[in-house]
Amino acid sequence: MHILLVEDDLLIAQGLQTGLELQGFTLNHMAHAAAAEQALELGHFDAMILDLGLPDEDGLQLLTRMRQQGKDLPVLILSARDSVLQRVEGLQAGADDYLLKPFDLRELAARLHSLLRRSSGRSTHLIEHHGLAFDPATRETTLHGELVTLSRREQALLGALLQNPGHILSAEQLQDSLYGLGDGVESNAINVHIYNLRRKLGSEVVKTVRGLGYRIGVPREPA
Amino acid sequence: MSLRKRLLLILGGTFIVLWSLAAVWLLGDLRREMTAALDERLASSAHMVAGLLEQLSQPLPALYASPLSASELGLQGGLVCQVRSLRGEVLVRTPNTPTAVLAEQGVGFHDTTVNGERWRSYTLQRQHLWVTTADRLDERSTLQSSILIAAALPVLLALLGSLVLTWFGIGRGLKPLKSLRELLAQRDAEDLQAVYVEHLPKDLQPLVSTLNQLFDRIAAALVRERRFTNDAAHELRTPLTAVKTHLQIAQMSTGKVAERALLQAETAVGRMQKSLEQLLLLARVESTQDFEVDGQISAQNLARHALADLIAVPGYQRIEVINELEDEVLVAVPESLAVASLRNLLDNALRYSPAQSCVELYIGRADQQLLLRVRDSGPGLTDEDIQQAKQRFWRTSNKPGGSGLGLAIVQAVTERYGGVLRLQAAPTGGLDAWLYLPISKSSSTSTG
Repeated sequence: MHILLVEDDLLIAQGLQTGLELQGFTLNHMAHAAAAEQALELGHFDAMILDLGLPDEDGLQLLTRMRQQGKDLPVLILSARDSVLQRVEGLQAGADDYLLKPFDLRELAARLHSLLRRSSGRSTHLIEHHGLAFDPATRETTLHGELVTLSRREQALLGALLQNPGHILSAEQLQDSLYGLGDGVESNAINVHIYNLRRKLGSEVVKTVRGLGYRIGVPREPA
Repeated sequence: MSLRKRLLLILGGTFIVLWSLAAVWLLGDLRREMTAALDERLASSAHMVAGLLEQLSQPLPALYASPLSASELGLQGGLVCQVRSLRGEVLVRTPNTPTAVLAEQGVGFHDTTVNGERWRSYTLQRQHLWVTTADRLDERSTLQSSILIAAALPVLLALLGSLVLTWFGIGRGLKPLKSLRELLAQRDAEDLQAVYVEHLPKDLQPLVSTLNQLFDRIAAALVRERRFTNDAAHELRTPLTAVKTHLQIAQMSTGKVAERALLQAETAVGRMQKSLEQLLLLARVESTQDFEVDGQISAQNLARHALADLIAVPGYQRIEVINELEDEVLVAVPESLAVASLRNLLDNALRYSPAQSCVELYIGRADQQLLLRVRDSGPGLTDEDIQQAKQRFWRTSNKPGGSGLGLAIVQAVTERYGGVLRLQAAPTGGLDAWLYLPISKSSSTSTG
């Protein structure tokens, strides 16, 4: 899952990056509102973690502008401002969740999963697709009831495809979801992970749409 | 006591005193006039009787001492009359006249007591007769008191009525005050909205507008206070968040990642400690708490201590000290605060200036004060920034990291101990901070 982290405090940002990556997220960190806005133009994100006290602009202004532009990316506000009024303001500006600093990393991860689940219209964490089940929170994958072991990147790749069923995701988008923006990874790195997924879940599980990208297909039939 | 009762007491008291004085005066007059009128009646009755007797052809025989009724003599009720010969024989008298001889004293008005009754008499001599008319003094006083009562009762009633009307009138007059009071009593203690009362009299307008100004000021102070609490919460929660996050990472992971997380947590704890210390220092300076434990410090030692505190700060060697003080000057500011102030200025200068540039500390005297001037060649502050820089939690947007309290502490110290902090753009670029601190009177006064 690809998260845009907008936080001006470097120590917290580093902590969030490490802590969420340990829990299977991919993060890009921006310290300024302007940089965050640029990143939103450049890449695809599944959710955004927004700090309110940014040096160049209040986070709420950025959020309001995003919503005015019609961006419906789930946004979780992470703030040390604790009054009810401020929380209400944050939610009214278009945030989907509000978490107070200091927070628990596990709670943050759980809330992010809920946001993603709600934004894709599901009622449980579990994403099911033709006998394939993937839980983004526990990152467990089962095929026809049997546990399949996937690497972290493979989980992220499968998650990205499953969360956008029917959508064609470009190699760049998938790459962002796996490595974050502009990591300079060779695009064939994606191919390696796709190859592994097909090997573990069936050759039709990832469909290549020539010239456009990839989308989720049908996994292997039970043996 | 309510304002209404008080007004009633003052107004009612005044009414009663004035009306009583007027009544005493009026009634005194009335009594004199009545006495004069009754005396006149006595005299005219006597003359009338004498006239009647003159018209009789022959003198009255002594035998004719039988009483004549008062009406026979043409006298009004209450009056008695007797006629005597010059020898003292009573010739005629009205039936209720005491047998004892009235008015032996002679001609004119007399007060006499006959058989325990007091009489007022008038005697007149006509040819060979004495005519005396008299009336009882107690009858006179009964008459007088009934007249007094008749005169006093309406006055008394009017007085009572005016008191009652005054009570209601005051109530009506004080109505705006009452509605103001009710309005204020109904208000929530938290409510700081301006008060509005309809038909407010001119006298109350300044009161209400002062009240509203006060509400405004309190509301502004509350907003400031709330902002401060929010800022302080932010200031402490941010490093706390970093500590917690990194500690959780250390728990979740092993090896290099865990080690690095612990190091980061420690950095965050350090930052939190610094913020906390600055906050506490600011709170102490701004409260009325005493710093008596602190001794006084000389300007030279002040600079030495502040510099020593900064040894761990990167770029410490860049500070260049220019000391123009020759003799020892004692600073009239508690040691810890003076040192913290100078340290904050130097810390800012180091933090916000390029790595190789020089930070200049000038120590001298100006206008009987100690001048500590810190000049750097960093980006400096815009005029707008300089206006805000002394506010709590203000920091520059281009290089965050400080607590935002350094200059606020210096400002609070100068406000409490009578110094001045002036910030201006240095001509060479960078910020030029002038800190004037008061000098203790016990130090030598020669100019440095």
